[in-house]
Amino acid sequence: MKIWPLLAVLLLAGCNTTAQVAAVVAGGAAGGVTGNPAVGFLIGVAVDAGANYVVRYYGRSRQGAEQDAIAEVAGELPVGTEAAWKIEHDIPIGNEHGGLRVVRAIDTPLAACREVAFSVDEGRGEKLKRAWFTADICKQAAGWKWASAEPAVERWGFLQ
Amino acid sequence: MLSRCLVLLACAGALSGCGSVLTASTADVAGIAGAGIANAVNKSPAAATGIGLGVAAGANIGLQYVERDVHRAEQDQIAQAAGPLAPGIVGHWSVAHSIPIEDDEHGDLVVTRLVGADDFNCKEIVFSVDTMDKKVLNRAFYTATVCLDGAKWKWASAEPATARWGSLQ
Repeated sequence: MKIWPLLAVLLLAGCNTTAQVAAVVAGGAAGGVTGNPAVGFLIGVAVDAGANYVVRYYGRSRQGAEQDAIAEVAGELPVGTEAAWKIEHDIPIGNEHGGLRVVRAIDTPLAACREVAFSVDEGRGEKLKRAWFTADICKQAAGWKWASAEPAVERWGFLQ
Repeated sequence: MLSRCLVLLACAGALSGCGSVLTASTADVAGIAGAGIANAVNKSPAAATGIGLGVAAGANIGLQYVERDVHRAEQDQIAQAAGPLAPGIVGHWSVAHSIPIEDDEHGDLVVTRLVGADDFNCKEIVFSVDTMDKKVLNRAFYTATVCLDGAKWKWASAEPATARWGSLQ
């Protein structure tokens, strides 16, 4: 299974059908070669699951890199001051940047955490648009990491 | 019958992070079985295809239901462990799943802040998920909010802004 064509397809925004496309191509080829549509279908399913996992893993890696970039800047920032953050991916599509501020320090006997407000900026000067979000980060052995846990299952709705 | 098949499939993929394999195989395999059965009964391929797709959609929903059920159990365990805690006191939580579609997890937790008024009562918490990796303890820390719904403490963190959903869907 070749990764690069999958990644190229992934770079189109909202590309959730990548795995299915790969599966149809693989399954169709297999079915044609063996003359057995059932074989084609089963290979299609396996490629779908594998490609789906790869696509989602890659998406998670990219989002994780952005979370780490924000957490690293916010980790050592004095409370109340503003700093800039940015992420530059290996494949330079979907690079984001913005500002951030540490809202408060959350000190507990268990871990040191911080509440962070960060913006994702588009444009510059008069056309600058800032979208603000909040998140929590905590200090782990490997450094400051994103700590906001998942939403309540009752709120999962279309997220799954 | 279908739910029993789903449970068996879930047991077969009893590792966390196995979601995409379970999703792809559950729905597609159920779809094949559904189409195959329908074919035997009625001779119209179009009708058989329609039935196959319908069964696939149902099976995927079945798996999602099981996933939610199992994950809700873990959230409830953490919320209920946080319920009696005063701010600053470290407590412990653990969960054991009867269907091993997710790992049995455990860790510590502490209440960091009380938020509330006359009609609502919530706590902000920091909790850890502890894992052993070759005799080295790994702790990952996360934050969440829990609120008292009636008599029961429940997970209260809402979903992220849809602008941030990206690869979540």
